[in-house]
Amino acid sequence: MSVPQWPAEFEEILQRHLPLSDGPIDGSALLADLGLDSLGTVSLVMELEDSMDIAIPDDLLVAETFTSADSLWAAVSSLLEGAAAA
Amino acid sequence: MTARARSGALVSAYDAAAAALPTVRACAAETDRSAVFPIDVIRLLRENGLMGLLVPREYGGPGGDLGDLVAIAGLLASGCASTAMIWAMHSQQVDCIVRFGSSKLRDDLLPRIAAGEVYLASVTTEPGKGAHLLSGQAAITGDAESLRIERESPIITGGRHADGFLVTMRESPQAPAHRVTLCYAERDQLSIVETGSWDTLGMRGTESPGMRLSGAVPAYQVVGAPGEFKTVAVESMIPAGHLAWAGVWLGAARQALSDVLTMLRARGAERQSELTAERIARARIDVELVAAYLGAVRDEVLALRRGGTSLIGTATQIHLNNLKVIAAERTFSAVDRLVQIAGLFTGYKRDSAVPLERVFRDLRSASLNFSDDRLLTMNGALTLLDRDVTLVPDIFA
Repeated sequence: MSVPQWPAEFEEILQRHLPLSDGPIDGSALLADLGLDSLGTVSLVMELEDSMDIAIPDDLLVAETFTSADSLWAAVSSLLEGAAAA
Repeated sequence: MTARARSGALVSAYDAAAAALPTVRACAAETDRSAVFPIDVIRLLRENGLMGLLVPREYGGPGGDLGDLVAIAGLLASGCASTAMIWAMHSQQVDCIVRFGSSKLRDDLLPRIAAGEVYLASVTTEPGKGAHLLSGQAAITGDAESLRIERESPIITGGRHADGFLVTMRESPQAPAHRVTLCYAERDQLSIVETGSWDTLGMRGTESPGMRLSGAVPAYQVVGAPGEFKTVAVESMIPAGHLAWAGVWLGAARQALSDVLTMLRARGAERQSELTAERIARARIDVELVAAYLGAVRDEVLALRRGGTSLIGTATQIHLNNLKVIAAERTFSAVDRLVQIAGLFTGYKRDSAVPLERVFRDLRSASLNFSDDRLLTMNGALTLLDRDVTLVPDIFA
């Protein structure tokens, strides 16, 4: 059985913004291929910030962050760790 | 910003545009009346080298940049907005070839464009797709060596007269809608059937009926990477388009204001009212705002290109979309005020000495030429991602 890469909450939020996603999200799959567009990105950012109680700084709001679920989780988890350490 | 020294070839291009202007202006009324493509005027722009403005020196062109594109678009538009838009859209496609064409395609095509042999049209709209530039329905078929194009498009500016077409297609039958490939096709590689007609309120000379295209092209005619038209759009087609179109609309509006001022001066001082003064002032404000913003966004894009930096940043995207909406709204607002100032006989009649009613009709197209509504929705979303509100110019930096 594989270890979950991220919390269920992250997966649920992300799934809601990937209209072309079919089943569990593969970490390396391109989010654009799964249906994430610019309007979806804005909504995704706002929901992540709200639900996970983080603030995503504008310098992380770049294409690289939203390339894949792995890259997005890397950004989000670093913010969660930062918040936990504070 | 210091004006860069223009090369001799570029100086010649500006001179050629100025020399062509009387002809452009003289043909404008008939072009508008008949809604027919201004073949003779475009032939002049082929012969005087202007069709190759953006072609780099090493391919035989004067090596103009997007700033030159804006300047000459505005100059031509002061005579005829349809002609200027035809030329501007062609130049937009040239920019895509220059920046993203394969080396074989650039070697084959750019010298011919510089020589005035190739007028380019773009095929990016599809029935049922709406104005969604970055998606494709009809897919490329065939094999790796020969790409089959079967494509219907409701609007192709100058399609009846184009020598070559830049066509967006879905990358393959299995590819998702956002994987779009841009290919170049010569007219003689295609069979073309017209599917519509062009009888519009304004921009009547752009003669943009719908067409069905069918043919095959070799793989080296793909522009940019397969499936990655988005990059070509972001780095070339959209910025060149928004800058050039804004230049066209501004050039037309500015000339209209200038013509009305001449008319008012001839009328004499006692005929002026405070209402007229206020309207003139506001028309001037409209034109000044567009010019200022156009210059700022032009400089931002030129600087990013010089630095080899992508235009994909959120603030840049917002600025480019802003430019199109601002230019479309403010130039039309200016000419609307001018019609009111000029009054019925000068402003509203077709046979007036000042072609105001034509410019009014031409500029009404601006908000529809890729709908402002879509751009405003996009910018609303993008602005939420730029809480710093990065201005252009970034005066508080």
